[in-house]
Amino acid sequence: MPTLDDLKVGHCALIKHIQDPDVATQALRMGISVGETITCLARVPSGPTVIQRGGMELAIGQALSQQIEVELQ
Amino acid sequence: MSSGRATVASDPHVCSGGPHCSTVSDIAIDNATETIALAGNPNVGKSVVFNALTGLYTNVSNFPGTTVGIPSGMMEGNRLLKDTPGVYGISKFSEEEMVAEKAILAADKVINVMSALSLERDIFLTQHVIDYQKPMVVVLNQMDEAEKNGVIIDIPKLEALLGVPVIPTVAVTGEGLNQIIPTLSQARVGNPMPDCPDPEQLKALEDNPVQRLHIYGLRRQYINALVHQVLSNNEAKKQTFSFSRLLGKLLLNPVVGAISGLMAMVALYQIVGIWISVNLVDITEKKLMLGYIVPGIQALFSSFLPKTSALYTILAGEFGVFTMSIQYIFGVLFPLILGFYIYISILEDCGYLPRIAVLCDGLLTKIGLNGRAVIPIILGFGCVTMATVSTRVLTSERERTIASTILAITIPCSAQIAVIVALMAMAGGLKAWAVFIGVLSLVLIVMGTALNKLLPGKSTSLILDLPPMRVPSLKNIARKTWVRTMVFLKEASPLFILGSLLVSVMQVTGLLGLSERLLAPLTVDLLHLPTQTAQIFIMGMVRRDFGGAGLYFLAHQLSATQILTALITIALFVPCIASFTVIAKERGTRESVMLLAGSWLIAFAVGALTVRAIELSGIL
Ligand SMILES: Nc1nc2c(ncn2[C@@H]2O[C@H](COP(=O)(O)OP(=O)(O)O)[C@@H](O)[C@H]2O)c(=O)[nH]1
Repeated sequence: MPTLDDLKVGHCALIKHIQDPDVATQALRMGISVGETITCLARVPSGPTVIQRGGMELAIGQALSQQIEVELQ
Repeated sequence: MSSGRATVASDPHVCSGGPHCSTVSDIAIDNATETIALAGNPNVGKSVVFNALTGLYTNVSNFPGTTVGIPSGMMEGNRLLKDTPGVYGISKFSEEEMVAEKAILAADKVINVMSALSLERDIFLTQHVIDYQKPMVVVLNQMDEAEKNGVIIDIPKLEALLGVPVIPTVAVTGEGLNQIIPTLSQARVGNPMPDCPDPEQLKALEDNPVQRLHIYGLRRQYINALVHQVLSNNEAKKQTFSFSRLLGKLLLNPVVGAISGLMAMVALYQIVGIWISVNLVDITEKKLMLGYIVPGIQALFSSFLPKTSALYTILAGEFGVFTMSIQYIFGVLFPLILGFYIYISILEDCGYLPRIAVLCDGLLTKIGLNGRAVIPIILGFGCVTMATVSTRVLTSERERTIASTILAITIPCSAQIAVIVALMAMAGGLKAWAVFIGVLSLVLIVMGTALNKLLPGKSTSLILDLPPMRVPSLKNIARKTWVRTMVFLKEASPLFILGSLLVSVMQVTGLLGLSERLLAPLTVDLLHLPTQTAQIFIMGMVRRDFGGAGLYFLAHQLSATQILTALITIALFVPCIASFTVIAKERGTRESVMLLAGSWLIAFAVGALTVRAIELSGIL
């Protein structure tokens, strides 16, 4: 399954699953939870993915974003 | 708006000791009728609100790189307002979250600042505090920006659903802020989420990671439904073109980011490196301190102490407690630190700093750090002591160890820049610079990679909220800079004083001369430098720039290769006494002793290799 790390700028994706429970916990607090749709706003090559949800922009490091499975919309 | 006094008291759990770490011992504070915690996510405008309520801004925003101190101040009605670090939640994921949780749970009431721009995110903390049944008031800030983005919030409904008063504000213009104090008396325990256990039980459950995830899921579900009822978007009102968004996005583009990052570094070098640490320090230290203040102090002491006595040397001699430390703290450190904090505060306030962190994250993860470490690293070019203190913003102990080591060994502080610049010109200019920067970067990369491989555990990954790009507010910058500088000087001055005490005692007892003689074989055989250079290394421990300055006086007898070798070795060699003391305090004895030994080893090994490489290749 693709992860957040596979997204390209402009992609919309639905969050399907977050592997690490600590990551899932942190993401929940930020409003990123399974079933949510996010947009990829920027990519740093072999670095963080910047996503947008509502008025919020969030940068997620590569090790984390590889643990967040998504479905492209 | 009330006026009041503010005190900065470090949280006892963050601060390991020392006089400044005592709890707030202010008579007014002892008599406070109630304690109120100011809580909120990072970048919601909490600092502006804190300042408005207490009349004095004190800084504890989440991403600045100072300390996890808890600033507090008195506000109207004899209430004690305690700021807390800006955090996304109170789940013990970092030292700051623990500090925030403690402060919130210990308070009588909570003022929770939210941003109307990021309601979905911020409301998690709000609901969490409600579930802990703390009486509270919500300040819904940044209403102006929400409006610009077409975000409409039904405030009466939000109030009803949360069960606590909600005050809409625009903190930067002061709009709505005068409602906060009158509303405090109506602070209430809000509506906990359905089937929420009582606070004690909830806390116990949330201490278990599996249970916590489950509860957080329920809480998220509940508040998402709640937000759905109060939030609507008016697409028509939304500004279609936002310069702030465009700029924010552009700065994340790797090419634009690299160019602007480079420009930011050049500006830093020119403003802080040259104008402040060379030109301004020349006036403050050489003209002001050495011209008037130090001779004055010496005259004072010599009026009742013979100039040849040991006590005079210790108190007012070359490295004296009342001479060198005052000269250094006020003549050198103060302008430097001020310059660096102004720079960092501007980058932070306009929203550029977190974007630099994002761009550097990929590289920094290779050495076991993450994007957040850009702050200590930038500050390290100013003063390693200041930067070591700022490693407190890093999440794990592992990252703090790596960052402190890198700072202590490979980052030359700007006290040295003046002499380095002068010496580089003598050592062959551009080529010499290339070798110098190349060698130091190589050591940094090798050391960081090795530490990342060797240290047990795993470093944490970046999760960072990117605030919109904003026009920096002069007032905010001025206050942040001032408070940070004061907090730092209060914390570090005793260390610099201790350093000069140590050295002057070594001077009086003859230990200084002895250590220079002991070092001499190393410098001569290993580094191919003349005997006198041993003295330079010892002086470099007292004050980094003393090392360079000593070298400057010898430079006419040295070849370009020798100058460069000495500079590289000094840069890698033990950090100055003050920063070593800070490292010992922050990182413990074991780690600091290892670091001390490591820096000797690395400095001389790299120095020896460099000199041979230069001699063989003949590039200079
Ligand atoms: N437009 C607007 N900007 C604000 C408002 N409140 C704060 N800011 C800006 O938001 C940024 C973050 O504010 P600050 O108080 O440092 O945030 P903190 O991290 O919560 O302490 C600063 O650049 C402020 O000038 C507001 O109501 N409207």
